Amino acid sequence: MLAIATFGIPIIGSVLTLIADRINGLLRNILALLTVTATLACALFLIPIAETAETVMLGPSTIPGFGFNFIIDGLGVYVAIMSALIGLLIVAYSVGYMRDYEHLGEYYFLVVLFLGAMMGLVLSANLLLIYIFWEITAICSWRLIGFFRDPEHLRSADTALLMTVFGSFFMLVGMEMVWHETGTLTVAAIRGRGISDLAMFFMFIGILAKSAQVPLQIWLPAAGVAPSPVTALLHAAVLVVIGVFAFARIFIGAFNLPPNWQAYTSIVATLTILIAGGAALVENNAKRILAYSTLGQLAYVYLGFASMTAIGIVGGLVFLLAHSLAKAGLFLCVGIIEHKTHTKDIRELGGMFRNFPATAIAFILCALTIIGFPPSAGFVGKMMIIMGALEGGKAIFAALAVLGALLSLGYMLRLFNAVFLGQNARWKEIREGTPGMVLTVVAFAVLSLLAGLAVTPLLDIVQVLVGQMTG
Amino acid sequence: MNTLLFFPIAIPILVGLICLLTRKQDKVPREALTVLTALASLALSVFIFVQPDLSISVRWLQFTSSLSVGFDLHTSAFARFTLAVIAAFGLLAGLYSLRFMRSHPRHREYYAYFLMALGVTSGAVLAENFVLLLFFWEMHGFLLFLMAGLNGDSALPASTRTLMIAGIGDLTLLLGIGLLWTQTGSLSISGLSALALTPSTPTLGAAFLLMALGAFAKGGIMPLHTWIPAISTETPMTVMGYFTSLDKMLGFYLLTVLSLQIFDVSGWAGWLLMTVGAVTLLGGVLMAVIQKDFRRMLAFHSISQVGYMVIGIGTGTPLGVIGGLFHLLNMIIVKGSLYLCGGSVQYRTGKTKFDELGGLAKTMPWTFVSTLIASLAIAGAPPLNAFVSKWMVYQGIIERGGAVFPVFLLVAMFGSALTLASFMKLLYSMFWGDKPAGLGEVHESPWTITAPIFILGLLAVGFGVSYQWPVTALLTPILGPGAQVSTIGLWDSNLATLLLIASLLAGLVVYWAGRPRRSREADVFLGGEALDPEIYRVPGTHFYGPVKSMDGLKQAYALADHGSFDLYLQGALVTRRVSRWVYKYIDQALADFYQEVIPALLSLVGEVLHVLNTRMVLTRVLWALYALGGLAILFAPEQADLITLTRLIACTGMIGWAFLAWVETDLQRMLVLAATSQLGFVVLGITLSSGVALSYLATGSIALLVLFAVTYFIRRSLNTTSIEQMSGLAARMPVAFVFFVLAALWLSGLPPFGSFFSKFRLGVAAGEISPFLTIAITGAAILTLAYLLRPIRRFLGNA
Repeated sequence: MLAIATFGIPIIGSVLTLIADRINGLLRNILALLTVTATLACALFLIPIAETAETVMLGPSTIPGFGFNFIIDGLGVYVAIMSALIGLLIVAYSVGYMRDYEHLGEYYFLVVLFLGAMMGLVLSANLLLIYIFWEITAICSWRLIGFFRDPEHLRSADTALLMTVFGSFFMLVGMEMVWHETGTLTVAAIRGRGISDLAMFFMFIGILAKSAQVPLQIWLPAAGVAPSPVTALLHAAVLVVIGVFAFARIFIGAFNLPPNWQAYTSIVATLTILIAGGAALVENNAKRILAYSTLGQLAYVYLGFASMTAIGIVGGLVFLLAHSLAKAGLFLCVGIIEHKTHTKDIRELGGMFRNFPATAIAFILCALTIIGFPPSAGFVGKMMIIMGALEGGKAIFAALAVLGALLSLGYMLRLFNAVFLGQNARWKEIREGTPGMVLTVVAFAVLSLLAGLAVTPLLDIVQVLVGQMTG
Repeated sequence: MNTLLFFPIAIPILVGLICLLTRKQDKVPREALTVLTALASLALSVFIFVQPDLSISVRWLQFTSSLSVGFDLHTSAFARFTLAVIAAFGLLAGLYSLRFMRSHPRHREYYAYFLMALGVTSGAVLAENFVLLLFFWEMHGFLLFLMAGLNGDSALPASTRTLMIAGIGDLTLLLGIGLLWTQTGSLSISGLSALALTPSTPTLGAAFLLMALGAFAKGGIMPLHTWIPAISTETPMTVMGYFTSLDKMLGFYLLTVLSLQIFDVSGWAGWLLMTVGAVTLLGGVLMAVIQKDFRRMLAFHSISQVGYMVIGIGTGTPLGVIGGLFHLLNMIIVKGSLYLCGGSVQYRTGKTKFDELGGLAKTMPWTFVSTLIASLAIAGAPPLNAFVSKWMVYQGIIERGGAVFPVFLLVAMFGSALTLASFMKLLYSMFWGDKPAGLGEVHESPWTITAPIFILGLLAVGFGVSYQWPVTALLTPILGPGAQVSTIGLWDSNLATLLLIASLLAGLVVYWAGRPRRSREADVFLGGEALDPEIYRVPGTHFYGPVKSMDGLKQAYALADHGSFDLYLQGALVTRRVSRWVYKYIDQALADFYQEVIPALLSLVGEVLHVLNTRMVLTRVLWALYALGGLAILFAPEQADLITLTRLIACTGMIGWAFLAWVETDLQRMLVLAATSQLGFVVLGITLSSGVALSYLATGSIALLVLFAVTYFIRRSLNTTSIEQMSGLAARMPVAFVFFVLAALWLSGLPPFGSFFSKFRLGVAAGEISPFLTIAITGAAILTLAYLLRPIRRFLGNA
């Protein structure tokens, strides 16, 4: 019941938000915040259930392969809490950031629905059910990316939708083949079953497209035209994380990633790390730099998963959380500056430390995680991923990942230097964003730091859920 | 008792954090806190030093159920020694900072980082496993970056370089640790020591090299040394004196642990280290000779001196190793003293260039004497401390033997000679000669500045004259219990010192006796014309000009000027070039491919079909074919060929009419084409299973009906069906727009809408026949979405 509430509340809440918008803007904001808070609360209440990995079956279905199967296990609840928490903070930030724009009813409706679909997705135990929620997120992201309705933005939104749908339609083909080969689409039932490489390949495309891995990466940097809180949401809480989650759920949890696919995944991940790192080093748009960073950093998670070693998988999941917290913070930091200066070009910015001291410090703290400096959780996560790759016998990939880590140090430093240090005569007067916005980025900074300081319990938790997942 | 080990780490870090919270103007409380903390650290370190080995382990990282790494601290003899040196040096640097940094605009951050660095350095030294070591190691690198940026914007390139090089070191170290772990399954320093590894396999060799690179970056060893000269002119002298010394301590700590405890370096690894050491030594000193700013000169000397230590450790002989470590200790004292002396001069004059200084010996006697002692010491003049350590390194080289040992000896001695030469230049330029006109009245620095440097000077003398004590009491225990180092051919220092003092006294007597009694000072004149004394002042900058113009060296200097030896610079250039290439030819090219090329191809195919479809000829033909195919299946369901043909027609319709819809400019006609394409799905469905076909027909019709209805309303209100003219429709007719979007998504088969399940079932049924059919369905569905997005984009756009 609680599981249904976890995704039911935001889905119903999103519609209510739309209605509330007709009445009053304040009511709408409050309702959106309350809905997401309730979602987070539900997700937190799922923790005790997750310890035993309970499955729930909600009524029969006549469609072959389909069933309302849900599973409340460590992996799902971990990602659910992460997404709901980040989502809540982002919604809080949106109140300040978005207040001067139009179509806010649509905005909050889509954001809350997005979260609801994410909650449903992570708790689904049927591939087709996963797919359905998957596409709902795609539709939400499509409208949110093109939210400002500028022709260029709409084009980026369509690119994002078409590329992810290209992937997911093929993933559906893969699922059809799974159904064909195994006669079931329930995650628990297909566990340990081998499937054909072609089916793997089709599902792999879907995951790559969703997580914006090379060569399907280009829609994510382009999606940076969205309002900054949306970008943060896509990058940290709901969209690209889905690919990682599905990989863990399907390829690790169900199919036990065979050795040849370990190699393919490692190749894609390493290529993504290097290409994203290189592109981020020369890009001048702050949000695009962060977008390249996202796909590069997610590739680390894939690299950890691809090792199929306990240390790599645990490291990947720890890094996923660390990255999400930090990347949301980074986007919102850039959002504050963009909100005030109306530019994202780092060549025009500079010296913002004086104008935005709190934002700048939050930015550094979040950047530490992305780079992987201690004491952040990024340090532990990245180290474990590299150790996993080494243990999995992929020393070359580990070495290239280390090179990529150096690139990430380089571009984060370049971004920070260009935006916050140096001189700028143009913006002497501007000051920090609204207290709500600043508080949110500070919260993200503190959370990223906390994840690092409390890495011992975090590892213990992830340990348990990986144990559940790999049985 | 064992919990004591946490304090040298935790106290400075916590106090440092507290400093960050203090108000900007609370300078005195901050300074008091710093000195007290440094004192406490020293007391703790000394207390720990006299204890036997202590260790403590706290649960930290449970990587997997079978692998965990604790927050393990341990005091080996070496760690104890290093800890004590760090603490002592920290106290001195802290005292010196009081006056020197008083007016720095970022006083608060300085002391915070100062203390935190003390804590994390202690942590790295006390760490019992490499993960913990790396943890503190990287934090130290980051603190150095923050410290290097204290002087503001001008320091930015230098601090960036510092962090990047630290990052290189950190990451190679990480990779090395990982490799070592895969080979041995151990991450603990003592555990690995017990294995007595030799870097003989490629993996172990790579692990050694990578970890050594980490130590090189911290220790400022070539080729990862360039951050030291870069920050030397951009940071306060105390940072150079204190932070770079801590860095060296850490680098050497790791290098020693690696080559003394973990790996046996009697083979190639030792030769490699010695070669790196020799290159560092010679390269550093050659660069030092030609510098014009004492900060950069000292920076290059600090690199050069590190060469001796690396050679000493590379010998792998007890004497060489102890010599190297003793040299490290001596250099902490001597280099620290030199940096702080330079700081003292800078404090009073504000100048750092040799050209602008001179004649300060009289007015800054304490600084001068300390500089003189330190200069002689660094050049290896007896009876000072570095003489002894260098001598021990030489002995180590000889003891290691081998065919090429004379080369190393030669390099080491040549390096010493050049060091002496360059310090003559420094002493002359700063303290002797004439005072340049631009320099006003100069006084000696206050005692809080001179006392630390004088104490360091005394230590330099003390450790030289009675070298036995530091060598036997402090250093030899590092080699293990019961180890002994016999210093061959070293002198009886007491007698020698007496003799030296006697001869110095005799020299003084001769000087006094021979001094001209009657003399007169006058301004310089020529032909009765008084000349500007500045013309006759000989600045030390021009010393050793010939070195720079020597063949071979000339070219080398030219290359160095050009940055050719600067690995970081070259690496950055290559990285930038490659990155640009990747960005342009991979990322942007892919973006163009997806956003330009594919749509263009779709349009091309669509336009060709469009021309063929003039007056809907093709469409009508297709409808007829659909009907024929349908009839064929109805009446001749056994005819396999007919069925295949029908499927082919259906696929052609599905995909081909999607292309046509893609280029259509009229909404209503587009929907007709869309319906034709969708009908292809249905016909295909009929060949597979009538149930699937029916459900697809039903769901698809609903969506199409909605689309047609919306179009009807649009036409009624706009009087047009041209997509071009529908800009801004979303704002004007929101309800129609929402219905259009929902129906479009529905028709494309996107869940959660109705078409999705029919499409899924169609796909499953098709998959049983051939995967190509499934792919065709999928392709057609993607195209459907693509062409339906076109009008939607137009609706959303501005009118």
